[in-house]
Amino acid sequence: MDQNYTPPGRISRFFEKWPLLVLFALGWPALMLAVSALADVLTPYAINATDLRNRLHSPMGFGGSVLHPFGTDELGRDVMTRLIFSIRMSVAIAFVAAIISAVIGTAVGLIAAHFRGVVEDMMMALADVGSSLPFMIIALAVLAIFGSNLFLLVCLMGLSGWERYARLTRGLTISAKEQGYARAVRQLGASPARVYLVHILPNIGGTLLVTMTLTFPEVILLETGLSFLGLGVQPPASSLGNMIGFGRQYLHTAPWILLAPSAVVVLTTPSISTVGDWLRDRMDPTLH
Amino acid sequence: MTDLLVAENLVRHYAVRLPGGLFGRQAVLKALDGVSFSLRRGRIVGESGCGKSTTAGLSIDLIPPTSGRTLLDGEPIAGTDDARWRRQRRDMQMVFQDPLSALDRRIPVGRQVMEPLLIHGLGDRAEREARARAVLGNVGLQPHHFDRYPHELSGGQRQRVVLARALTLNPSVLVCDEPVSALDVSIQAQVLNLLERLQAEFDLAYLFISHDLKVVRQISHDVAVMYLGRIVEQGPPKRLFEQPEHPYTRMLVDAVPAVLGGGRRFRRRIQPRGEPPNPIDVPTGCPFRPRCPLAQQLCMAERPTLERLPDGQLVACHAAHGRIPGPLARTA
Repeated sequence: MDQNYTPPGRISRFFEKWPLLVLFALGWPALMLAVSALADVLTPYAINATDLRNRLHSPMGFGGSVLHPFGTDELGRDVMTRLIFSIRMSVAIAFVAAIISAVIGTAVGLIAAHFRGVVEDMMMALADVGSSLPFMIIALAVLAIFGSNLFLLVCLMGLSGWERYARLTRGLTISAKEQGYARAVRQLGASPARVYLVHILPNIGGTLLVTMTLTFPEVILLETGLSFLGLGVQPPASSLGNMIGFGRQYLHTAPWILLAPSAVVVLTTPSISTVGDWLRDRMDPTLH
Repeated sequence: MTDLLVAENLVRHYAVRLPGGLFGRQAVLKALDGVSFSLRRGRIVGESGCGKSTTAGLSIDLIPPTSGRTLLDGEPIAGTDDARWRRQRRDMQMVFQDPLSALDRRIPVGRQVMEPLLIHGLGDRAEREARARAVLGNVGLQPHHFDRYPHELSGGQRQRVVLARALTLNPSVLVCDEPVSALDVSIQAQVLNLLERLQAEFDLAYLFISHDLKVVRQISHDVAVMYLGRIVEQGPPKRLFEQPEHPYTRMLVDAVPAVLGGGRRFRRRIQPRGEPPNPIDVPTGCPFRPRCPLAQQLCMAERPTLERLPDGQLVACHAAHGRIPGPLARTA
């Protein structure tokens, strides 16, 4: 031990437990959630209130005024208001879709790992089909045929990443089944359901959680892409992608319309991945 | 007295692919090739790779046998997930070689000891906890260990937790698959003493599987020696260790370093020769023939069966039964 060792102070101990990056990564999604929850209170204008005399108004600090801190768009709608509602819409869609795909994928993976043999082959063939179809084109086709509505959009995106969870769960479960603890619990007389849900799932949960935090930003990007193409969230409702899509035409004259939602997407993606990594470490009792 | 656990002609073959990649030849690995035993307090020893752990798995039906069956209290052990299978789980428990991997590292050990009761729906929460605390006390753990995670305990403590979990349901048979070989020698002694104490206290029968002759000699009442998936010699430990009949047993016993002046000083030692053959390609006749100093023509032609000597010792060796000459042959 160092001769001049002094025990770490309260502040440095705090930062050891909660690194700055993690604090930021936790803070950003928390802010987004808070903003989504309080959208109705926070927004000074209605989402589709136009102000034609103040069209393409610059944001505050770039020649704009306090009235429209993030500027206005081509119809004089307040960008901040639209951004807040867009965050709510995109976060809700991405959250539900990520959970749908995690549940489907994990279930399929567990079924494959439990039955093995023909069932496993069928399930994995299904996963192969899922991953070999270009999702964007399927989504475009489905949305073009049935028309875009929110429910269909969420379901479609829930079906987008499930095969990743299925493969992961299958592999992890098969190897976990061969490990001592699963066999030990099995020979105690436990039902397979108990072995899977009480023992194997929590043990492989860390990896699944990290996968989920990696796919969550992808889902946001997917929604953004679909909305950008005009097949996602339809006006008058707005989402991050739909804002970017419509803001594209004003990229040269009013870049803030597009930059505001883009910045949100860019910040969200890494912060959620960081949170996932950190959560996995925190949830592992052997690591602290 | 009926035997608690009877194994009848257990066979377990594995299909394996020989080296050669995609075009490798299919072959059959005879991990276990007709093992029968009955258990009051039995032990199995043998060189590694002879099928000891397979015997453990088969005898409590963790691994389905290729043929043969095991009886518990005169009732065949069910391989399926039905009510009888679950009931039989309560009577026979297994203790594993590596206690850390046998425990779920995410669950405090106290809850893992309560789990068998939960699985079989016994007692309410308070009763389960009281039972778990009592069993943990029985295996010599302190009350504060109840909320610890497996990785926070030492190897010996973990093995005690595994034992406690096995004992929670008051089983009559405990299958111990190398329970002390992963532990330090000092801890080994503690766990062995504990096993002996528990045996007396709860009237347990152990199927104790080990490669460690000293451990086997200390704890067993009846010893079976396995070679390449078969039992080659079986008898009480004193007889087996002091007067081994099978050349393989003799080789194992001679491999244990003895203090000068021990009972075996006048006998010529048999040096271990060679490696056990590939279990995929077992030699014809007696499987021990290529390594045996006594091997004759007969050993190549005919596989010796496990037969009883006049004093009750079971041996599978032509020389021991006097069919070929040898320094180990008994003059009856």
